[in-house]
Amino acid sequence: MKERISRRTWEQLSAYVDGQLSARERARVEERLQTDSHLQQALDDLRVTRSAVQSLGRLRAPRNFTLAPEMVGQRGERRPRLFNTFRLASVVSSLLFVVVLLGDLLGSARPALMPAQEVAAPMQFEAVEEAAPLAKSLEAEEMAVPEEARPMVEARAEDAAAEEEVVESLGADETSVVLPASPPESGLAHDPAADSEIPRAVSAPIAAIRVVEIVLGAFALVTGAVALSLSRRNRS
Amino acid sequence: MDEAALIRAAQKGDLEAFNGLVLAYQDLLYNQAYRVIGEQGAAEDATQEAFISAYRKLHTYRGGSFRSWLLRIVTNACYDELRRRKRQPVVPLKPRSADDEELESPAWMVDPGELPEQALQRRELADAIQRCLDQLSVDFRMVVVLVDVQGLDYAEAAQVIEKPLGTVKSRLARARGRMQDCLRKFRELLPSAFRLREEAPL
Repeated sequence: MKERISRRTWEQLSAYVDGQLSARERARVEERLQTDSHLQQALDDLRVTRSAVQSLGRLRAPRNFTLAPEMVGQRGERRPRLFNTFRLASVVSSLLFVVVLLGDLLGSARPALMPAQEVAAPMQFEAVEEAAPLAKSLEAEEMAVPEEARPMVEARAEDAAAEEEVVESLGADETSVVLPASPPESGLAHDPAADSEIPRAVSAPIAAIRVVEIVLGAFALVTGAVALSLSRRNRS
Repeated sequence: MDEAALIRAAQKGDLEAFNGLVLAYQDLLYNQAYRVIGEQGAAEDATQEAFISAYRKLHTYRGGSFRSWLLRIVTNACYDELRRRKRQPVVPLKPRSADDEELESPAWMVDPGELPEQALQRRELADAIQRCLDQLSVDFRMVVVLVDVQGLDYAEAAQVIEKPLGTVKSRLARARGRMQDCLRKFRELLPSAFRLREEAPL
């Protein structure tokens, strides 16, 4: 039956069965149905086909499709982990940056003490160096010094020994420091040329701290930016 | 909590609220997937994918028919699954009984209140119709399932497949014509109520 009916007519019949024709179109189809038995038969077959498909009914879902939290996160499994890693790195580097910065600020907040100590320490190195030959010379002097001058010589020897002990307690790092003149009260010679090397000697660790601060700060910024970017991508 | 409240809560990230919507719509989505894809395992995958996708895209829902919105997502999931299967053809596994015989109807399709003869008849009809559906092109199959199986009207079906209403009308008519031709071959298997007249000789 279908073959005798044009495609357009078939479409109209199909829409007619579903009540999807305009009032005018419906009237036209009903008029034709009254006079065309083949069209009526085609309509009947169409209704049977439609009813057969509708008889399939709705199946029950074989299981629940509810979502678990990890299912929603699993799709972006890599993203939450990456986000957490970068966020942690950003936090840790930020904290380290703050700690180093505070340490640096506190260190530079003691300018009055630092220069005197820094000057005293290098000076003590020279004092040791000077003290060593001095000790030897003192021994020689003792041999020749009269009895009334002996207490003075012994005091100088004790000074030299004390300075040696101080220097040893400063440790190996100090050995790179240039050895300037000793304090004037020890009576030893003061080397003015050594004074100009103090800023360079002291600035080396400060420069290192600055570099560390810059690196930590940059690292914190970069990791923070990446974490923020990942977070926005997760939300989208 | 009504549907609108569940949707609002789910849009704020409340997974429990979204799961309430899943329970309400999972039969609808699974039916669409099963009737279009024709295989249970793949239909389950497509349905699950659709709900996961719906949760992620919930912020794009701006009102209107939530049913149509979900059906659109599962429609896309079905197309994806069919494209994937076309690239990697798989032999669908049919469930088997204890005697290792293929079961035509999975256990969840059985109506416990049915007489055996009725159940057999229903299964034969369902199998015949599903085989005819499988022979349709995906586009035709999608429309006939939306309108004749799921009960959508033309306008809603047009929203789901994102095509004009005229396209729905045309595809549905042609799909029904092909279904009719296919079902004639199973005439003897069909209940009398669904037996089509034999074609009159030309």
